Amino acid sequence: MRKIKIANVQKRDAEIVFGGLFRKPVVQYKLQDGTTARNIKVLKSDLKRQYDALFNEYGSDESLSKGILEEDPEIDLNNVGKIIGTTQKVLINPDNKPVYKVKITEVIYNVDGSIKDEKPFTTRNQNILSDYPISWTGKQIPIDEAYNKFIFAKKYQLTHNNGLTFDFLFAMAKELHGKKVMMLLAAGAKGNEPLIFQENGRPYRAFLEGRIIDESYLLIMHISNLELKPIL
Amino acid sequence: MAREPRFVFKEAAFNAALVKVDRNKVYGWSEIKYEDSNQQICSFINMLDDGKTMVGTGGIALKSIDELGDEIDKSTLIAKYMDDTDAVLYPSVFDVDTVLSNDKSISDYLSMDVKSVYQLQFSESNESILELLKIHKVLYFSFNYRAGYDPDDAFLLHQGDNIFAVIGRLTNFSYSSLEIPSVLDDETEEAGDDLDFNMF
Repeated sequence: MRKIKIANVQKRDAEIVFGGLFRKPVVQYKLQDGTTARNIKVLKSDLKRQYDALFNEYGSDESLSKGILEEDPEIDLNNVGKIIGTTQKVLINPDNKPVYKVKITEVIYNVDGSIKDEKPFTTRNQNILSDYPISWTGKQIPIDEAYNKFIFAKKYQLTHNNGLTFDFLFAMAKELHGKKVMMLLAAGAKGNEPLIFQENGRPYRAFLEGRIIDESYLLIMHISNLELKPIL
Repeated sequence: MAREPRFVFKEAAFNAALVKVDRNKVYGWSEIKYEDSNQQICSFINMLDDGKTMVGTGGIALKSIDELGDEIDKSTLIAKYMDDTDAVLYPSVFDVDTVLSNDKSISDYLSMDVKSVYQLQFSESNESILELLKIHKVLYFSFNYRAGYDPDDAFLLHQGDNIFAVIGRLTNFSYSSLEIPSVLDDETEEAGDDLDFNMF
């Protein structure tokens, strides 16, 4: 389970663990004899035999069509159907040559597709386990109002890793449960930044919900990057 | 005209088209541009593990094989549950009535990992269903866009006068006690965009 550093309302912080739950597949595909099928990736054609490269080689669609009928340039008999294992992502230029030094720019588009901004790309560091703990912002939203305001795409459960953090998290859950609210969480030195869970990951707003039953608790961090807004 | 699922709740029934709510349509989006020293736009391809074969989009096929390594026609495969019984094929929401229920609460809804969101588009008044949602807050149903063996969970809810279907997978979190902390899965997230968050 991953770690996160979180502070409570009194600004006392602790390193605790969090994670999600994934529903395992309920169905598997079998052959008539009861054995299980396996999926594999195979090579259809490499870059030199794909449309763009062949078009450059033949100069026009007409010549390429003729070439395909007469010479089969799109088929590499030695490699087609080869089972593919691991692959690596490589940057290439329009001449299909790997490049090693590139200028990286981030282009931001408006809803209508027009460019809003273009700026040099900067690395975004994760901020859930940094010098500054994830903190309670004090912005509380009643659960009955929050559920249809945001799309909470993903849920992470926070849980304790020792007796001290049990008390710490149970108290948080109890407070939120009692008030029936979600607490907006934030990251950064000023406690106003969205949460970034990994290097260059998407920024998300996070809302903490607490539930308790007797001496057990459930703390769910709901993350969102979308408001529930009409598009019609 | 788009096909419209028919939703049924007790005696009430209504039709509505599903229009996907895409984050790009709400906030815009961003892309990363790579340029070489000649200001030529660069793109990513896959390099195979031989270190020399480069493969672009469409250059790789996914195939199913049997234990001997022979290719299988996927239409011959049989879907089975893990206990080896035949899996039930659930129809698409476009092919049968979709039955809504009020046996799940806001807490259940909030326990769902969301995969997609649709806004419902009505050709007639949505007043009656809006009234139901004001009373029940959320109405649950099973969702298959296409016929499938493992339907998603889904909820109808309203925001103002608009009605949305939120599709995903319910998760069964367990409460943590002092003796038994919950056991959870790790996950990594793909690197994404860096849009300003316009929520507040």
